[in-house]
Amino acid sequence: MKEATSGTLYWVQTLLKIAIFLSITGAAVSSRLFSVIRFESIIHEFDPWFNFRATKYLVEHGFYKFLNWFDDRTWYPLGRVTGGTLYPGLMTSSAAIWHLLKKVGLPVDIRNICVLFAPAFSGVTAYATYKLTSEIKDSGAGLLAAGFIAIAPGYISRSVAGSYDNEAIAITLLMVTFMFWIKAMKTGSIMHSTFAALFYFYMVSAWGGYVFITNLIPLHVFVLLLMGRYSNKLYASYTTWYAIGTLASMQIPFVGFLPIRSNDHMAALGVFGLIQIVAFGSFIKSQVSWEKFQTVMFVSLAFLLVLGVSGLFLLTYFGYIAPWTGRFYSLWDTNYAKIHIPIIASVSEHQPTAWPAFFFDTQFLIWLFPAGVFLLFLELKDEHVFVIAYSVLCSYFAGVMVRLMLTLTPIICVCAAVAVSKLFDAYLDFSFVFQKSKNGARKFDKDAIFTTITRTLVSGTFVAYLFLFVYHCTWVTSNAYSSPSVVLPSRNPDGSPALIDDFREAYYWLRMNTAEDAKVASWWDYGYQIGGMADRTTLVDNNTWNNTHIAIVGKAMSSPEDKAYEILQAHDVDYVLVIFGGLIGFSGDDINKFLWMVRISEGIWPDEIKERNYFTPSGEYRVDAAASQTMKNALMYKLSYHEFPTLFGQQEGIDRVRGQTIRAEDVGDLDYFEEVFTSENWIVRLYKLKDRDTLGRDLKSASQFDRAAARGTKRRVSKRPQLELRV
Amino acid sequence: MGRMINVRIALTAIVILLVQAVAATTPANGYPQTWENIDYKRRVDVSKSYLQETAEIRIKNIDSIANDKYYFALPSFVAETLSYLSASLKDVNAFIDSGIVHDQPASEENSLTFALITLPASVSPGDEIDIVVRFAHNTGRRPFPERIALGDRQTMLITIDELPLSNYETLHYSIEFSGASEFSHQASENSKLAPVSTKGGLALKTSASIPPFEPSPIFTISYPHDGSFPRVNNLERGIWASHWAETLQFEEYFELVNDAAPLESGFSRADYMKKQLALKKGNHLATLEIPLPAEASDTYFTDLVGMVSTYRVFGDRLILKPRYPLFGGWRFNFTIGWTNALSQFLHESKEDETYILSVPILDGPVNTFYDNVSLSVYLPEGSQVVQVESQIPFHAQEVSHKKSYFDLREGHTKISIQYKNMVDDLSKGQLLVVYKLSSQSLYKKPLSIGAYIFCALIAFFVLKSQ
Repeated sequence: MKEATSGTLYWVQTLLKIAIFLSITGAAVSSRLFSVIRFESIIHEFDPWFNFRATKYLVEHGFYKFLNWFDDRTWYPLGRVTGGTLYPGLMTSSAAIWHLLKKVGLPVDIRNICVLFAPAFSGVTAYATYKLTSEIKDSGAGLLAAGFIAIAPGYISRSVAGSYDNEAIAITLLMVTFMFWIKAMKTGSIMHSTFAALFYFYMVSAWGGYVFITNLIPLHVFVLLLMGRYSNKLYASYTTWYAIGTLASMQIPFVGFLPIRSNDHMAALGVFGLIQIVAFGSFIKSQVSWEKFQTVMFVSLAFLLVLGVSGLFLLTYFGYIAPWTGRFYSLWDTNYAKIHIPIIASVSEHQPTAWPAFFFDTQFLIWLFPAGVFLLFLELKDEHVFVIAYSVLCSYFAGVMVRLMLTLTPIICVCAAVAVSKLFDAYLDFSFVFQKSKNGARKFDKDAIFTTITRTLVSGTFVAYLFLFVYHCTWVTSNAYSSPSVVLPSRNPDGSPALIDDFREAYYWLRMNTAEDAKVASWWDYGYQIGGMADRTTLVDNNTWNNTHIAIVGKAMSSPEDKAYEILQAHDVDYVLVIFGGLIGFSGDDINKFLWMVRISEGIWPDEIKERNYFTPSGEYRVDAAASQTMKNALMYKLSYHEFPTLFGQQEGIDRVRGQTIRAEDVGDLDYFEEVFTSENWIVRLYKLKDRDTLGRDLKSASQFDRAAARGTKRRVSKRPQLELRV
Repeated sequence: MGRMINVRIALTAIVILLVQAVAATTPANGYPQTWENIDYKRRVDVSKSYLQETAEIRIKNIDSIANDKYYFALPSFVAETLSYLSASLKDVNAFIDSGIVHDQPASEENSLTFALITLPASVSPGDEIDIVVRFAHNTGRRPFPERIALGDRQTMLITIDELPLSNYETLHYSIEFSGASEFSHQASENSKLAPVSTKGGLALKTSASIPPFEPSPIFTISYPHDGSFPRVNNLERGIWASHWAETLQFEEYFELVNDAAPLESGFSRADYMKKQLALKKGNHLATLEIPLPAEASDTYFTDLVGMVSTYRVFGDRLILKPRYPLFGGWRFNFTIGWTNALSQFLHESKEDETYILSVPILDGPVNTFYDNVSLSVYLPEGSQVVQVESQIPFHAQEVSHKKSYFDLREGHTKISIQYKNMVDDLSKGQLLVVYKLSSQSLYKKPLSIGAYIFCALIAFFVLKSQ
């Protein structure tokens, strides 16, 4: 696309571009609103609940109190230094928007800002992608890329309305940073690289995935150096970016001195050093003869390599540089987490990606992606090297971890846009029809007709593909990525739509009807939700910073009632919350997650908890009569199935998730816990720890006595009084 | 307009808890003995979630001069939760002046509260007149036994003074209870009352003369009550008037609690389902019925964690199903809202851009007692409050500002009024707000918003052209 610089054409182009961007933003935002329209303006899933809670705290207490926030309502009794262990970028952004809107007379509720944050930023992402792709190819490809990224399900999966997570803003910042980096690298402009550094800082403040930028830009520079493409522009942009970016990133409390201590950041430092040497070398090269320079280069390179590697090794060995983190190892060895860190492996988004997921998330872009990379290879300008490095690196990561599909999607969109735009450049060009031949008459020969037909055919096919893509994206967004998972859709007996709202029912019951400082023990998945919706103190939550503490809850859940009672009492627990899907067939319940609880606590107490004991002798995981005795005695089993069989009239109940029969005698009685609330569809069950017996008995014998007494009363009542006279 | 003024006159006549301090110097033993209660009929109705009492008294002037002031005594613990007190003449359908006397004479043991009833005309010495005093309060009732099992029958207990508490001597006295299928009572040993047979309910009477402020034995009435006792701790009612949208928006935040007997053990959902209690009447509160103003639209029901999908609108009634059934002692905070046309409530006076807004003071669920009600009326930005009239006496009033959407200057004009001890019966009461709103300030807002957007576009154009 040729760009006019002045005159009417310029304004027409500007107007068209604005119109196109408004439509793209409109499409991006509206396709993310399925959940708001179908359900309501609600925060989704788990982590967003924490971010929402933190944002509310920030808005209420101000920035400095937020940075110094010590949260005593989670990880009881340890608490969490929340202000120092989170990425504040997301919360500060939405708080800033909240304040800004308030200033201009729009006091929007903070919840609505949080819910609509991700859709709003997806529009910005589209614009940044447009700018980036324009740098790579031209603005035609840019518009295509913007259109792709706006509706690609791979990105939508983390940015629907209500999905108020760090990724919502991180992808935007990723694209903006890269856009500025490409500009800086092309022009050597200090301003652009400063902007790149500032957005890098913003990214650091928003998402742990900033490490991706920290490594990708140095990799780009490194590859360019290896290709012998060193230039002063590259030097100026990289050193500016690195110096400002690193210093700025160290201002984030959670990051602190990591940029100079952690292995994740060493590549950037190494390349920074390397580029100094290369700069020095190129200076020398311009001063001395080629032979002399070669000798100097080889000697110094070998020396530096040895020094660098041994220095890194020694510093790591003596603990000055932090070794790689567990998540990093699991990037290289997909089995690493399963063996060493079950808590990472227990999260479904850390599993390797299945092949169909690529097509599901990007549809026809996935096969245009390699084509685009190949086309860039043909040209191989400096900025193309960046895209190629990004593509290769991210393709691998996306294959290892499902959630990294998110970082791959933008580059897929860029490459696919390059491919499609190249194709359209050639095949949408019908100008020859209007060209006049040399003799002045219009030319309608065979060639022209065939060219017209082939061009119409090819571009028609691709327009159809684009149409299918839009259709697919809408379908995927609507069906797969728009469920808040707090509320489940269902149907009334008469077929009208209804909602299963058990989570909020139980959380709200907790919030309304328990003491404000009550402590709730549950599996860590529900920690953030309990904090956000029930506003009660939790033992563990989705932050998972303390594996031992999680293992304590896991141990309590997998122990028999009396042991569990001791553990929970020692931690001041008042209520225990379990998720049970057996009644309506909700498969994400605690019995299905139970093995992870067992595994995690086995990691800490291998003598007391053994995974093997929870299986049947034939190695099956069962909950019916054939279940092992350890399983039947486990607190989780008892709390899940308490009174469940009695609901079915006879002594057996059918668990609809596992399709097994639960017998009343397997579940037994509860001696140490008392049911206080169960939600309408039994998804959430709440139990209270009984108070210690006033007569000093242990709770088991006290409960047995009470039950016997109750049976005795019944028997006595049913007995007729004896009235016959004894003489 | 005419109809409204009629309603207004009729309702202003219920000068309930009239805030008027009657400076009076009285002896320590109450006010002068100017009257005699010839016949004192007391009725207690327990059918609602609060107690409604009626005292029908035939009084005789025993003074040497004509009198028109009768002092009605109430124990202070009743007065604390007293919702309304109204007096009327028997057989005459009109209210007469009555109000709590705030300058109380210091009394010895149980402190008393007096209401002053001013008769429409003085009564000559020796003449008799029948007055009826009605009041509602929320004291002296508790469940017995205190906790019950899921699905059990609930029995309530009222402890009440057996004898009338009066400033004057009473010659004949009877007390009657109604509103429950059966009553059983435990009279104290030295009870002066004898039971009388009645159709339903319980009645007792005595013909012995009762001296003023006679210390009364307490007696205890128990009766089955298969229902809930909804009580609203706090109600924050906001009413937003918009002249541009032609709407009056209502938003009410309730802090609801059920005062019924709590469960003796935890709530067992299995039992609840097996006994099918969701379909039966019991002391749990499963649904709330809220009458809405006619033609209300855009109804919503939310709570602190989001939307509650279980509600229906049938005509002018809103039926809410809380997230969980409220058993005794359980709480549930929620917000409801709806929109009405402004013309239903607003009347424009012809001269000098003055408007009269007449809104109901309450719209909450039926059969409910309110501890505190905070009513806020939000008028458009730039309006000036001329006058505020509440047909129900209030506790405190304030005019301030509140910034809302597109308020670029001082914000909406907010009138907030605090009420205490309200009952659903008072929902007929109206609040009248007279305010001025010039057409200048009405048009100022859209024009200034338009100007800002215009400036932004021009700025964009200028920046792009360079």
